[in-house]
Amino acid sequence: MLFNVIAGASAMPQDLLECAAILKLRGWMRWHTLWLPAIFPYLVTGAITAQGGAWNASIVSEYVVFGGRTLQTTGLGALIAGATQRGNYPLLAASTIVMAAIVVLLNLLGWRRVMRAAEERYHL
Amino acid sequence: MEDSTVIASPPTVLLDARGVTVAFDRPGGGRVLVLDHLDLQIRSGEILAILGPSGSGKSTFLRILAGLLLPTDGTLLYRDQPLRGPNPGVAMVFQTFALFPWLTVLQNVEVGLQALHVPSTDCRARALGAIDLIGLDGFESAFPKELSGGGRQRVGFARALVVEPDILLMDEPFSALDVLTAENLRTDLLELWIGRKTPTRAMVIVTHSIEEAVFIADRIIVFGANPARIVAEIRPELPHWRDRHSAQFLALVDQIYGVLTGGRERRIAQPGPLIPRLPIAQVGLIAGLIELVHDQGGRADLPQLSAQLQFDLDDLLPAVEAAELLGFAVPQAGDIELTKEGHAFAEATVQEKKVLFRQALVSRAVPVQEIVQTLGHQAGRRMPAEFFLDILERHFSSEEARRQLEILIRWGRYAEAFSYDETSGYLHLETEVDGSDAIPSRADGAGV
Repeated sequence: MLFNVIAGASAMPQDLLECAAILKLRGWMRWHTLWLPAIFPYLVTGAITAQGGAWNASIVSEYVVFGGRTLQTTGLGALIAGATQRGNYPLLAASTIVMAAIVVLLNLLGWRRVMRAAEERYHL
Repeated sequence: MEDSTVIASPPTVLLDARGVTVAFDRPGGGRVLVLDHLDLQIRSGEILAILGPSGSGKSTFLRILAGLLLPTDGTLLYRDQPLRGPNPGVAMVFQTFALFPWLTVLQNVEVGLQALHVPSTDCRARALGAIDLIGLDGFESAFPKELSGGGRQRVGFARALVVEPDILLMDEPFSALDVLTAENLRTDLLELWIGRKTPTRAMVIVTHSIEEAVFIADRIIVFGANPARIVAEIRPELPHWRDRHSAQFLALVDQIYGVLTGGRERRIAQPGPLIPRLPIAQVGLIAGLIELVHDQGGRADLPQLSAQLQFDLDDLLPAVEAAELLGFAVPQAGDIELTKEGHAFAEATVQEKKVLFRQALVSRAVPVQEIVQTLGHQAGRRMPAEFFLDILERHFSSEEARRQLEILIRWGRYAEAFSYDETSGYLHLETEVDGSDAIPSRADGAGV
């Protein structure tokens, strides 16, 4: 996310910076008018990547076999891992499909709208 | 009215540039001078145009006036106060419009007022007034991308004028627009100025269009390049609106063309960089120009050529300079006249043209001579292009050095003086080009 924001900030056109300086945009106004909108698309891309990674990690960590002991909480990740270990293939298939559906729905209903706003309104 | 008293009072000096110098340190040591001790005053009641070849530092100078850039040496006074940051008395219109794409037209115009902490009701009224004045009413809630180029620049003007700046700075404001749109907007701007519909007291416009400068300016400053110095100051003492076809207008345009093309001797005579700067003109353009002038009997009027070819100054001047450098033409008071060699070039076949171009290049263009000689002394007759770039970077900014190398390679390749391998990045001397051919004598040239 940090790298995305840095990339966004360095893509700022020179003339907009000069314009902001001449208009005497300072402090919060400078952030509000110039920087935040300009880095918004990069912020969104960074957030999507970060969210995906975080969800991945949390699913994997729901079911851990460590030193002969099995640590687990209730959740989709534990369900999938448990089903794999027990060889319960119908349950494995069902839970995997549910996981895929959640990802698709999240992208369709959540991120896609934010992305579109980023592209349409905040595109430089 | 307050406005009329302002205008009636004797002109005051608004901006005073004293010995303004801008230089950049090269990473490899040495300095590149961009502006060299410029003295210029901007007075109330005038439209000042700054003209010059591209790369002459005119935009840099405008940024100094705006307080966006501090001079390396010298001072800039705004109403007798030295400036150490963004100039409080200016607004600027950009070539690229520089609008905030996420704000509506109204918001874009209001931003400058909000930054000055104008109360919000006032803010709205003034912004709407400015939008109305510049002829954008009805588009208040549109986003910039919904507007045409002309519409966007109108927003640029509204945003600049709404803060009622003392001085309006314009950086090639019309050059990104098509001819008709530009003319329309230029006329509207001049109408605001002549009709005193804005309290702005002076305007500075950087342009590369001579006609534009003569059409609107009260005073025209011509910059010479490398480093920028003022080479001429011209006052078109014609009342507005000026007739572009009148004899006085055309004479002024001719005069400025003369200044811009005739500055070469003076520039060479000055103690300057060891490697002269090559004009950035493609071979096709140089050849096209020579042939066109040849077709017109060997002499042509530069303003007319520019209109005929739909070229602006930035396209035409380098080609004229290149033709002059290669000895194919000489500029004559706003005209261009072909030399004997120029006529020979125009009449030559494609292959003969290459030979003539090579001879001219090797006998007259110092950087090409340097490269050919250096390559000739190498065992494999080849050297990496980077080596020459390093040398160029000691004399020019790195951006300019790249441009110089690129044009050198293009000319050299066309003339088959040397070739360049894209993948290895090496320049090498054509093997068949040897001794007498690579560095031809004068007699050689007459024979072809």
